[in-house]
Amino acid sequence: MTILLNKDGLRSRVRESDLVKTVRKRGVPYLLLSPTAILMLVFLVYPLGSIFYFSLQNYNVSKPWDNGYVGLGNFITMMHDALFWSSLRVTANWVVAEVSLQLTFGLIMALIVNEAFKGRGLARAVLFSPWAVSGVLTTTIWLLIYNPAVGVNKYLADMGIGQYGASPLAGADSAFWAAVLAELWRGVPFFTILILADLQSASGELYEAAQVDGAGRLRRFWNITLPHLKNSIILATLLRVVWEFNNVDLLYTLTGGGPANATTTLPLYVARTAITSKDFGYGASLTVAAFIILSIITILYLRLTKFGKGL
Amino acid sequence: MEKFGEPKISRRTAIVTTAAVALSLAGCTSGGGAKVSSTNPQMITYWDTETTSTRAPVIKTMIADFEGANPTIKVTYVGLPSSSYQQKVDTAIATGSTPDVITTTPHDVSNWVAQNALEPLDTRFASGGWTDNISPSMVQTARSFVGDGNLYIAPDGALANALWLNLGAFNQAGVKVPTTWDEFFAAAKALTHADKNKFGYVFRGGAGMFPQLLCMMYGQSGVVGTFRGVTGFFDANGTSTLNDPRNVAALERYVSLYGHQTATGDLTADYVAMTAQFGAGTAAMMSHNLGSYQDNAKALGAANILGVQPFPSEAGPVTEAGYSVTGNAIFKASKNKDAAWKFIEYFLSPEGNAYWNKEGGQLPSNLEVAKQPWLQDQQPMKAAIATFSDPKTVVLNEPWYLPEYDSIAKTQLEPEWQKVLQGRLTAKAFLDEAANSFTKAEAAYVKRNPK
Amino acid sequence: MKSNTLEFTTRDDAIREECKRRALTPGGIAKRKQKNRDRFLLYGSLTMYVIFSAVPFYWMFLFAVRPSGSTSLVPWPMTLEHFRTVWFGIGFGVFFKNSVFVATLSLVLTTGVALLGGYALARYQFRWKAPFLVAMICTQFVPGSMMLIPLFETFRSLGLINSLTSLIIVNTVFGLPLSIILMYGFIRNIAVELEEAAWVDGCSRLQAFRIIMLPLLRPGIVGVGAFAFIDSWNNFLFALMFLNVQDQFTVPVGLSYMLGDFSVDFGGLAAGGVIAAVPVVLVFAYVQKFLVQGLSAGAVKG
Repeated sequence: MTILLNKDGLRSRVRESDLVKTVRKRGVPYLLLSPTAILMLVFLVYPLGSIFYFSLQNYNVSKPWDNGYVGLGNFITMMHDALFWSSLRVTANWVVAEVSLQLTFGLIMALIVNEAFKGRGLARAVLFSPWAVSGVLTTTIWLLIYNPAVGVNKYLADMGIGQYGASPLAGADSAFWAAVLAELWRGVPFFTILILADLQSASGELYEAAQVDGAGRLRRFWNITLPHLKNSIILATLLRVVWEFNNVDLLYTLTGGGPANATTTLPLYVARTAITSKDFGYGASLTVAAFIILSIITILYLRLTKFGKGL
Repeated sequence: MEKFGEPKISRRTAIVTTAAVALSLAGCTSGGGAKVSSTNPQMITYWDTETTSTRAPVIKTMIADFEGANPTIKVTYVGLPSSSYQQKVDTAIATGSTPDVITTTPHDVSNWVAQNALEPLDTRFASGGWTDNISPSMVQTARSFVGDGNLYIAPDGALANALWLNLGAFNQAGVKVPTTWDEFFAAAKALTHADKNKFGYVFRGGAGMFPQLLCMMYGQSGVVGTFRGVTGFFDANGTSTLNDPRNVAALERYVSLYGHQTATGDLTADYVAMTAQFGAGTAAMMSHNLGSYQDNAKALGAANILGVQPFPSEAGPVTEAGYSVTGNAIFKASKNKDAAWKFIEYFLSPEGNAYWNKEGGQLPSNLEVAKQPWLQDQQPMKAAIATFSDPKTVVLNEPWYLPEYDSIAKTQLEPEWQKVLQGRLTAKAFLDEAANSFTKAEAAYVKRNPK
Repeated sequence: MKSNTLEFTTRDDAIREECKRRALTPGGIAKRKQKNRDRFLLYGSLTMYVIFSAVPFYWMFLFAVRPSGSTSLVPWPMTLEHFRTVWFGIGFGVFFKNSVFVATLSLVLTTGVALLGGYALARYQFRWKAPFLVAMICTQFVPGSMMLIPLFETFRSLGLINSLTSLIIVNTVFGLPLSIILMYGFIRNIAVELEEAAWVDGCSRLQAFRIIMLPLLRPGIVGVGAFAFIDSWNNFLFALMFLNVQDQFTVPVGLSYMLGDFSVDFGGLAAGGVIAAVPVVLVFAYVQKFLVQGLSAGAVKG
């Protein structure tokens, strides 16, 4: 007798001759995942490997005479690089601010537009739209908004608020929050859409039962809605953390990492090092550092949210 | 309770499904290969690295004219945005997929030659008879982009910096056009009414600030040096003159404009923000090269703008910085170098050179074109030509040949410059840092290229 | 009642909803007043956020239709010259066509592969499940710009450089982690009992999937597809790097031409932005309709 677990974790007993069939069955999920696995392996593993390889090299295309193996040399330089540490700090601030704000607003908006009311379709369409806008276009629009000469500042100054020719992008703190605002505009719909789609597939019976029982809005939310959403939110939030960590588009065009490196995150530092300064070896080592940090965050996060249990 | 065995997804179905996906992927590759080019016409690809909505039509017209005169050659044009072309070209070089011809800027040439990607053009240039027809000083500058002194581009024009003035604003405020640096600073003050959204000058605090900085600083001080036969910012010992006390004083004076005669938002201003302010009339003066002539004329009217050259420096002569030569280059990996060279020659020829530089606002390299009357009609051009023909003018050559140039001027110095404007770093400390970096880079360069 | 455009509940529906809501409210008038205050707060904040979402679009629209140099805050007088410059001058028409082609195929491919993978993760237990998920997340740790050269070489050896197929593949590859995770979540939310009921009735697994799951997965598929479409539409880096023919470039590349170092055309820039954004915004206006599913979806029947 062979003992198998079916998907609910229940044991069922099968006969020996079924072993062949079960082996075939066991292969099915791997088969279904094979297109994904193949695509990832072919197109991502080799590039990832090359990054690790280059992090151990001195590699600068415009100074080929210096190229060669340096072992951990790049990493030692990194430890003493003040800009590396400050970029880590900025990145941490950025990720925490963005993800928490996006999740909060996304959740609230999704809950609100989940209800029926007049004009809901229009509200949803407007709420979702910022996600459709690309990174470059987002920064273009917000640059026009923040532009000292033709942006919001001019109209405010016309009314007597603030000075002419000022821009929120010119101060270290204000530039950070100006960038946060722009990315927030684009990022909240990500959560709104996900959570809304998830809410829509929730069982109506649960809600009605709770309502009849007299449970208040908050109670209903806490005990029914949130647990239901938990699974999809956990992974989606993690992905969002990784994306915001690696967000270069917006910051590159909006602030360029300035003023004076005040909004330089680690990935932005990588881009400047590898692309502008053409120091690909050092850029690769910075990328490896980011990889390690993100791996640690992922493992901790999954442990904390007890993700493994729900699989 | 025992559950019934569930129907197994038939293994065949699963395989068929995944195979269908795989096939759809494979099926797409059939149309991807490039066709073999026939011997007639010859195909060359041309990459433009600074495509804009105004430049693309100009190039397309030139290609059409060229193909009309040379029916055996076909040019495929690809436009790349100026903000992201570098990575694309570096990738192309690394993977051996470069085009035939490409437009260049000075530090591009240095970078690509370091990667051993460009074809030297000396023999073709000489045998084409261009040595007598193209401005020798531009050719000399083009040779100075790289250490080996070879010619890697066919110089078709030069960009000089200018100080743009909004004549309308000057007239309205009753301020005279400045002819000296003192008058410049006084004019900036007189033209500033911050509460009415009018500023005397617009700073370039953000991306690309280095050329403007050199212009305004060396323009005031005139402290240049000559090292290994090149007049630039290295003195006879190879030490950078960037932090010479006279330069420090000049920079401090320049920096004092920020926040007083300029908008505070200028801290992050790049080209776009700068010209927008100048074009909107909120800033009366701007330092940028001749290339922005079309934009400025469109915004304010050609009669309302003046593009003047730097005023006499403290050392005496007018000192020009931010001068660069542009031209097309051929990649070593090109398979149609003769056809490519023929195409490039069109940019050097009288008709091509005239059209190209007129549309682009550059100084033409063809000596015959340089004598044409239309140059004298455009005031900024006329002023630039007059200054450059004056033998007393000193031209500062930037060390494009240093591979660290971008790394220093952009990655390192741009954030530091913003600190200076914010008042967190003194001009002296900034210039010390810049001087050290450049001196070190130059020393390393000399070691690799002893003459 | 379904309409082809945005869905608005009719006045009758609204009244019916209101009566239902009032009937279910225990506690009488005081409770109702409290509820009204709650509603005011909720919808007040919604309105404010909706305005926040809308203002940047309005700003871009203003620049796109205002004559150059105008500073009015109302889009009047309107001019179409910017659109003309961008569509004909830069050749946005061609870019648009390419973007539609690439984004649509990426959508189909991504959603298809994600459906397979998501089903495998949701309905099967197997040893490598957790490592697989973690590995997929790990692939997102490195920004695309650092992987350009090896990716380029891989595509070149497959003969895919200079073809839109390379874009489709790379968009799919980078979009899969999110798509699979989302699909996994959506499938999990549908009770497996529904499928089992179908099996008991004699359906094969594939049939049960087609008849029972697919209709219920509609919001999920639409959501995943929309994300895949949008990400593919907006991808700039790979479009620039893998294509060497002007006529194959996509909309984001065309947009970047407007930001050159020698020309400042806010009107043209905004017009290009409007052209780039309108199709995807419309996709979303359509999508939100499908995310409206009855509250009885997923319920266990009989």
